[in-house]
Amino acid sequence: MTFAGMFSYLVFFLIFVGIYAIMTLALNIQRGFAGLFNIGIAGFWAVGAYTSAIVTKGASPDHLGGFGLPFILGLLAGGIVASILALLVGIPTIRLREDYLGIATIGIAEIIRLVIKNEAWLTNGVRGVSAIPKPLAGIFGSNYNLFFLLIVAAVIAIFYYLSEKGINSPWGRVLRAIREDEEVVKAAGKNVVRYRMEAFILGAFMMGVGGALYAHFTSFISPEAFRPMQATFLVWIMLIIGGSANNFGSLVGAFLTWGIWTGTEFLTGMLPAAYTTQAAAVRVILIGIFLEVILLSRPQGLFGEKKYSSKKTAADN
Amino acid sequence: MVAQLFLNGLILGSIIALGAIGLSLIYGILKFGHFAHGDLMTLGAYFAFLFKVQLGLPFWLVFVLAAAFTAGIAVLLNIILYRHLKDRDSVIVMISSVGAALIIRNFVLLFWGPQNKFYDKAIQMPIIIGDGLLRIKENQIIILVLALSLVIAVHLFLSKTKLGKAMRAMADNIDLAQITGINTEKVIIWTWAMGGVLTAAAGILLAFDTHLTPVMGWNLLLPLFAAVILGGIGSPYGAMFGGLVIGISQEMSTLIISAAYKPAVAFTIMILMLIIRPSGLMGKKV
Amino acid sequence: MLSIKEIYAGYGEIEIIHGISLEVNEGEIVSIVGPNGSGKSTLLKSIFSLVDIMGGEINYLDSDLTKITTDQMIKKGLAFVPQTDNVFPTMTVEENLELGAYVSKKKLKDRFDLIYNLFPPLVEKRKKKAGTLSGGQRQMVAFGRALVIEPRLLLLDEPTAGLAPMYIDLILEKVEEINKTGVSILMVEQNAKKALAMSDRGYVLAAGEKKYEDSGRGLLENEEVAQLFLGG
Repeated sequence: MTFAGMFSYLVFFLIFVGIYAIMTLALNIQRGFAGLFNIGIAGFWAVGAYTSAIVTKGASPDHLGGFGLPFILGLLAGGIVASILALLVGIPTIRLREDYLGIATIGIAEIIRLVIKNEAWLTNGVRGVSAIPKPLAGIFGSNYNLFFLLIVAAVIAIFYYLSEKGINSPWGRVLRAIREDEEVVKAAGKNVVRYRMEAFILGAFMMGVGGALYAHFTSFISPEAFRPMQATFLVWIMLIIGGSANNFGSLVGAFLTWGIWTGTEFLTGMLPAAYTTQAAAVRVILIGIFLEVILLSRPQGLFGEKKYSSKKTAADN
Repeated sequence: MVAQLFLNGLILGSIIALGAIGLSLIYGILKFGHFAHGDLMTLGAYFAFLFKVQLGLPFWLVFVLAAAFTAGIAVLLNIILYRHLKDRDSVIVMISSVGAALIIRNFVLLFWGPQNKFYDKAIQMPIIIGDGLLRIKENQIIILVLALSLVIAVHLFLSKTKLGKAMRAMADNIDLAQITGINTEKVIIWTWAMGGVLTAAAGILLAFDTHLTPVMGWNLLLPLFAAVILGGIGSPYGAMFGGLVIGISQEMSTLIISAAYKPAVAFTIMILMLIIRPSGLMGKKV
Repeated sequence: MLSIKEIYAGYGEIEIIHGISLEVNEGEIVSIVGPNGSGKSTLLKSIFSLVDIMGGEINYLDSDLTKITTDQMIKKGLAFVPQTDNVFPTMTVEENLELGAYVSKKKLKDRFDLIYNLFPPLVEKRKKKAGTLSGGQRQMVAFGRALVIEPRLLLLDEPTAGLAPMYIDLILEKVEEINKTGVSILMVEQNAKKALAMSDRGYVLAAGEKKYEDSGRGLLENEEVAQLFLGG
């Protein structure tokens, strides 16, 4: 493999790490900071992807379209629709236990998948949406991926900054206090449900944007193209490996996990084609066992929970 | 038309009910949603396939072996994983069960492949009742009879045996159960075993009615949880009732909405329940 | 029959009981009183190994309770009625009583008659789910469940907590009745005056330590105790 070839692959690899990193930062807000259990990540991802695809493409006989909005608005639209979805799912469930939210998120991801698959007027069903515009495609030519990587990096930087800012703000301190001792915060008169809901929606927004980025990079999305539970599960592994409630850990976790995941793809790729499905199954089994081992032996991940400053807690309450 | 949908719903509902009983007890006693329960259902069905189609054993033995092996895997999951994780965050133990679900599902995929499988390739002619009002296949009659027998057996176990009462007591109030001297560890193991047996039975009946695929159980996980929540977490009788309601609603919903959205019915019922009465119809207060 | 020596107990790393010694002799009613947060419930729970024991001994008859299992304790005649959540709500009154007999090989149905005689309102409720009963009736079920196995020492955690006034005196009367049948009682009570009035001996706790120890009457007549802990 030539140097240029390796570099090209590295860029491609890093873009995927980046998109997963955004998902992990988002899940970190929901789970790491607010203690929520979202296993419907794939649903928010899909919503973000499809929304952005639909609003940025020109008119098409296959699906809803014709809005032709610029890329940035596509990203925002993806984030906003995902947020609305989170609001709808959260209203009946966040005031109850974490596990109810978990079941509800699986449900919503499934319903999203059904809608995408069956409402062909909207999404072209199983045939998927293709030719999703890549921003500024004409200008960069063969260096396009590098440019896209910079876009992804910029989004990560923005989200990372906002997340760190958020967790150190008065809002963030209440959220952390809720995780420590919910009853104390309730007694202080704070609306615990509202804070959790806000964290859920914020995370969902980020997931929507991540999904939109994915759509614009791959240029083609369909309900069968990716395995929802696998993607969801990978994000959880990334979060746990990095250390829950630790944004830096989330980035490292995404990098390491995606590295291991594609590494196993390389290995099984060397097997004859007849073994493709079995190879895929073995990879999932291995990564599943990997997570169980981590949960049993080092659940705090590589970096553990970051100790954020709590100087102002008393004053806030 | 309506009667036929009702019958179909009854069959699906019986299958969901059987799977939901164990899920509800585990939820009530161990306080977490076992996300691998659907895939245990799949495992039971495939074990039966192994014993029946691949090894050619008689049906009754197939049933017993498949149930026993699934029960064994369920107990093993508890011993290796859940027991160590459940005292931490409830989210940790649930994510580990999602992992277990993925592992089991992919083991099935690995050993048996993704194509649909059947216990019996022969096509059955349906028995026609009431001048075309109802069509029912012999298999489906057997399914209903078996499901009913199992439900009766579970009822007798829970209401007449010491172990069954201890199980109900633990689902009700685990601290008090300890104070009365119940051996909680032992009861927990038996709960997993029973859950494994029942969900394997549900899987076998489902495969008997339709076919086997590696995602068959995972696809029913949402209806299983919906049945548990509808009936009240920790209430095995609630789970039975909830299963029937979900199954019948799902089938009869096709009168109003497209069949493609059947899974959404279970979800909607569940969300409505969570809004109106989170403790479910027969459960304790949440 | 029960002898607690310098017990240290609490939850995880938090120590609540700091070296308390206590005794119950056969046939006695002994009360533990004190302000909220003094550790009374924790002390009682430590006897039944429901909290973490960090030091000290708990001897009952011929055994060290910190070293035996719950079912062994019950077989030796120890029974515990917790303050809250003390019945199985979706199970009937009868089933609740049956569970009291769980560790025994015998059905103990004759004991049920005794309990229905002690608590007549339960007779017509025997097939009803315990969760549907009133607070006072549930307390009766909780007592009944503990009494089925014919305990020698009954531990009661605030038996009158949350009860309507009519039930408070009733329950305390029942406690005396039970004691007269030969069951020793160790109870934690918020209604300190009433509890000490019927007790042979009492202990006053504050902040996890034993402050006073005397006969029931003695503590009632003790002015310091009255001022500090009994609300004058």
